[in-house]
Amino acid sequence: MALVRRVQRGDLDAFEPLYRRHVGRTYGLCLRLTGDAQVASERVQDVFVRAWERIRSFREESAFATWLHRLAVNVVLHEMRSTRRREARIMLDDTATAFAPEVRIDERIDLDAAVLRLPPGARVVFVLHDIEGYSHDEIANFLGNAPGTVRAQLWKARQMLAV
Amino acid sequence: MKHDIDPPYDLWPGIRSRIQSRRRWRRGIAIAGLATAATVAFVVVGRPSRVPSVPITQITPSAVRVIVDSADASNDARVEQELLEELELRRGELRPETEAAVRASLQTIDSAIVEIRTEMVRRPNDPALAQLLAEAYAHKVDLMKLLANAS
Repeated sequence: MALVRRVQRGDLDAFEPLYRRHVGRTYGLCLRLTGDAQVASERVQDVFVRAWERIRSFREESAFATWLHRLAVNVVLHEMRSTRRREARIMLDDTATAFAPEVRIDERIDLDAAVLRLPPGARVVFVLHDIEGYSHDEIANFLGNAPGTVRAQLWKARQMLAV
Repeated sequence: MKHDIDPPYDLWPGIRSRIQSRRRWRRGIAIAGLATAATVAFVVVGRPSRVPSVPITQITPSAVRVIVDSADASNDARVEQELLEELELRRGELRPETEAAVRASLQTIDSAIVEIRTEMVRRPNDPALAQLLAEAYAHKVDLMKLLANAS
């Protein structure tokens, strides 16, 4: 927590060890949510720049890792929404044609690879619920969707993965 | 499935560079703000018989914000043009150091705006960049209003 306090006072050198400590978890989350290594790398940078700018709002009653994790989810989802809005598409509208091809059996062995092949909406919900442990309500809140929609997306994702 | 995955390359240099750029812009905008305050001091102290009709204290951040919120890219050019015209009109009235302070402030703000806009092309969804741009515009508009009100 001493590092966090130093960062809150504007010490950029103290931010690097915090980055080193949390980058693996943050990159893992971003990669699973975006499904693309290059995009995930960009989102990780966005997350840490945003964390630097907002760290004064961090209250020590919550763990820094938890705070950063939520921030990362928000950054990635905000970017996905904005990008889709720019492309005049509807967020998380995975139509039948938007679904990726079914996951082959050999790919199911590597769940990570299979998750990355899920369509964006189903992937986001699956990652947040089954991997990161958020509740349906929390995910619905993140996405601005109804909890029922989240459940439906999760069901689709599990069907595709045959989990 | 493990949660931690190492990124393909070290992302820290890019993060550090972006943070340092933003710090520099903020510092530049803040310095321009101080220069603006100095300009007001020059104008008011230098010409005591022409006290501003609207006290400087009434130019609240929220008042400026209203103007900035309505500002867009095309507005920027108009605001700058008006400020430059005001400077030209008052060239003979302003002390040289006042005029120099105004022009230096404008240059600092403009440099920040150009850099922020360049960054915004790469990161159009970054709200912090939009905030920085709004701050830069706010100082620009502030400068213009202070000059006008101090006449």
